[in-house]
Formats: sequence, structure tokens, C-alpha cells
Amino acid sequence: MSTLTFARSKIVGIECLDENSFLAHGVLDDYVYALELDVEVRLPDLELTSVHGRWKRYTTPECPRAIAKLQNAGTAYS
Amino acid sequence: MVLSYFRNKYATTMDLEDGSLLVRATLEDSFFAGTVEMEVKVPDLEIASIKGEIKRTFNEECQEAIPLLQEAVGLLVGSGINRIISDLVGGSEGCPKLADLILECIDEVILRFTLPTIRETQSIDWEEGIEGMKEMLRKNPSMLGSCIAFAKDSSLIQGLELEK
Repeated sequence: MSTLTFARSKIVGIECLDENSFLAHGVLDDYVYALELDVEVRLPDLELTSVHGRWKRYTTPECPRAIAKLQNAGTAYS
Repeated sequence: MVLSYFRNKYATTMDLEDGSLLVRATLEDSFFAGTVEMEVKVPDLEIASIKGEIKRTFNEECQEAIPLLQEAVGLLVGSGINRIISDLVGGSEGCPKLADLILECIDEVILRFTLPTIRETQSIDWEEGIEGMKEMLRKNPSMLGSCIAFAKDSSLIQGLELEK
């Protein structure tokens, strides 16, 4: 029987914080990378009001520098 | 607090006895459930066969997109394939979710072949590991600038000389 040579899971759950905002929590886990993301979005214009991420597993010491880039998404729209 | 939406997407890759790969990607969320499975020839990474199934969706019309999967047969996993798949299988005349599952399979294939290099660089000490990554970049210069680790100001590419 063949064994897996690579596998990846991506899971996202969304909960309503109140009637005007919700929180999406995403997780990626594969043979190479593992990370989590929390994104808060405000209605009605779907503005990203908060983005936070955490690396759990990565390949180079440079990868954690990308976490700061998440703040560039703070003014973007879905 | 209970969830108002949930999505789970997972993909797996197996090496078959004839050397080709069997890749399968499944998406299940609050509104949709579907799977794409494809065989990829090695070493040319040609998509040899593909099949898919939509198990749950908004409209029965979505099932009409299943034959579009065959547009991917014969394509090579490599530069430009993401755009081709999005055009042939996704879009307003296709099914973006099926296209996305194919792209997930393609990503699996690429990472399947990247994994041994990453394992090798992580099994040696850090200084040797950096040299290993530089060697990988020399062999794959298209990776330069592909992410923050390979950006111009990255410590990983300091002193890197590419072959002309």
C-alpha cells in the first residue's frame, strides 16, 4: 500500500463577534509549513479591522519577517 | 460562541508504483463539498488523468462543470498553469471551486518535490543549510523574489552569485 508523500490541511471557521463584525480563524498545516491567522471584519463594507498571524513551523529564519506584512492588509477590502 | 461558517480543505499526495503521483484535494464547507483527483506523470509532470465529484452545492447546474476537468489533461505542472486552469475550468462559464481544487493539487505536486530539499537543508547545521538554499536558488533562479525569504534584503541571498 502506498504511503503519503505530502499532505496539507486548511481549516477556516467564522464566528460573529456582534451584529456588525465577525472573526475568521484560519489554520494551515502541511508537511512543510504550519501557521494560523485571525482576521476581524466589520460590516457592512467588509473592512478588515484586524489581522494577526502566527507561524508554527517554517523553513527559513527569514519567514517570521512576513508577519509584519499582515498589517498591510489592514486597510484592504474583501 | 458557535461558528456561523466552516471550511475544511485538505489534499494528499501518494507516489504510485509506476513512479507517477496520485493527488487528491477535497473541499467541504457550509455550502459546498467536492473532490478532485488526478494522476501526474513523473518526471515531466504531465497531468495524465483527472476526475472529480461535486457532492453538495447550491445548484444542480454546478454538476455540468465536471466535464471541464478534462481540459486539464495533458497540461504540464509548471510556469503559467495556474492561469490556464483558471481560464479553462474556472470563470463565469466554469466552476471556480473545481479550478481551485486543481490548483491545490498542483501546489501539492510542487511541494512534494521541494520537500526532500527542505529536509536535506534542515538536517545539517545552519551555515551548511544556508549554502544548501543558495545552491537551490542557483538551480531555480525563478524563486528569487518569490517571497520574503528570497527578497533582495534577505540574509539567505547575501553573496549569492547566479550562473550566467
